[in-house]
Amino acid sequence: MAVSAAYIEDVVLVDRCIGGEQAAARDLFRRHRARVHASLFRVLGGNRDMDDLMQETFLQVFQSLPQWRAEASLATWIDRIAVRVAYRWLRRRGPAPPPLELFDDDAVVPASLGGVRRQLARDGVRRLYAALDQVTPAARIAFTLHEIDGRSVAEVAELTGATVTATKVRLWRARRQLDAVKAGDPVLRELLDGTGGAA
Amino acid sequence: MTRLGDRVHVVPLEDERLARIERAIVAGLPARRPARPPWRAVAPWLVAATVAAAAVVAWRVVPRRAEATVAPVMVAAGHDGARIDLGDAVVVAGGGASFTVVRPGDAVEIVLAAGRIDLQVASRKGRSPLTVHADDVDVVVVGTRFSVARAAEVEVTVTEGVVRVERGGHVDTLAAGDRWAQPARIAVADPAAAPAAAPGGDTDDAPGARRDGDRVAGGVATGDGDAIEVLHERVATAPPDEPGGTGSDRDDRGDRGASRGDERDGTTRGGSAHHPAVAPAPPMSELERDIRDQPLARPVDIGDVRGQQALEVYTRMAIDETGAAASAGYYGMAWVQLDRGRDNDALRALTTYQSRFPKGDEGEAVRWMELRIRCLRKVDDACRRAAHTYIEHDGGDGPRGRIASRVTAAH
Repeated sequence: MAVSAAYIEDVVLVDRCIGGEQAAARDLFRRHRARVHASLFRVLGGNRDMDDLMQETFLQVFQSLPQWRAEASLATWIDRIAVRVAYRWLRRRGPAPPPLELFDDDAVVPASLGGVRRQLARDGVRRLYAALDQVTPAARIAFTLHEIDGRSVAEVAELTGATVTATKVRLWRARRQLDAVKAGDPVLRELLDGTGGAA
Repeated sequence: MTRLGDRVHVVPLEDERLARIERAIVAGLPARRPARPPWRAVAPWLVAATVAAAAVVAWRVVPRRAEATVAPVMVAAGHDGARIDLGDAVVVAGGGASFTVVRPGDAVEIVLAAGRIDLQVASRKGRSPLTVHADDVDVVVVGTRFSVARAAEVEVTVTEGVVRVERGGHVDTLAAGDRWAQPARIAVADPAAAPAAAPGGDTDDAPGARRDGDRVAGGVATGDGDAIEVLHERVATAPPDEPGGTGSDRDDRGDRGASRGDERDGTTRGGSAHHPAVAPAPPMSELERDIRDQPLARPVDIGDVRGQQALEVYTRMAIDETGAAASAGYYGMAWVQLDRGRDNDALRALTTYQSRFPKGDEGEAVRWMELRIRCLRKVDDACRRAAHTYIEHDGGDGPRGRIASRVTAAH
């Protein structure tokens, strides 16, 4: 089991939540919402359906809290639920254009970039998620959690409930798909080849 | 070079939106208090030994299935301390000590939040070890008597038997009479100490004098230079823990495989750093050198894995996938096997590749790899056949084609 300094605090907080304390539920949500939101954002590429996904994630968290056995840290356990929610959502949705919000939102690219580079980066991110729409949900989740959310392959495997080997195959599939797309897309190529961790 | 993650910035949700989500979640919570699961029937903080004992009784009656995890019981000892019988271990907690006990499967994990606990652990032969976590220090035991204290520093004292202390990848083994101490990563107040007891000596020796892994046998740590040297010597002579350090993989690979890896990508790769050769290499023919100088195409990128793990990924790819993905898997298998010095296994993968994917994307690389393996062994009929095949498919005009042509004429 993973042991962290916050472990005992987590246990106490969970206990209070199970006891029906609304203040504890709020506390738990506020502690974990930023990390969960960031992971979901990186998987999905936008905030369009975020309200539903965040609600679904945390409602499942609260419903399942009595089953938390402290085998994993609370954060990992919550992340696992968030990943499951994202997976189901991606499967339900099927291939679809990326959220329009992403195209228009300047905040999605680093503020340090300016002018043409900024435009290119925004286009690159948009095209990345458009390409990821063609990848299976499992491969997309593996890729985004690993390459964009910065989690290790082992962590991704743990969060998705897959083996490390299966996770590597999923990563490989996603990279291969992106390789195929970027061959004919200089903007996406600029985004992926200008970074160290892509296809 | 930046990470891809640095290029995708998370657009934060507005406060109003977050508040709306929070309200919706709280409104969706069950109106009535759900029944607590059995293990949580125990109050989270047991202030006195009597309550602690009751909690442990409740905890012990939970059936211990091999795979089941009985979730945490937390204990906070009163001023007089507490004695808690876990069934297979007795924990004597000092005044103010607090800790949590978890049983994942048949193991016992004790997370020490603060204070000192003395443990008497029955032999755990055939069962998973008992581990005490104090800060980022893990004390692993299979049956012995010892104590762990956590305050400004983590301290382990062994009375009987042997325990293993693990921190940050360093492992120390302590025998009876040994004491191990080092500063805690997250210091907590010593519940048993008077308020004025902490400063002084601790701050003097915290940064440099007592570093990770410092261990003091049979006495009190003083930060004395000699003691630290002795410790380092012991650590250095301990058997290496890292995979690949002395493992069979390296034996399998041998000098040839290791040098191949370097030639191929022009770098010395992690875990296979070269040492000066024990024996001088035999003189290399010009043809052999030219073959070696030709880089092999790398297989499809599967991330930072090597050896057996990489082989598993490529094998899965070869078996589970079809078409181009499967062919990439076979080439990856051959590449890994060659890298490990398992030439015959590499040749088998190459043969399968050629029979299944005569027009595969990696055809040229496959044919060159076969030529390389066979001709670096010996310039014989098999080598010359591989060279002919290469020329037939890939021509004899390029740098590799010219080498293949020379091979066909070589004796």
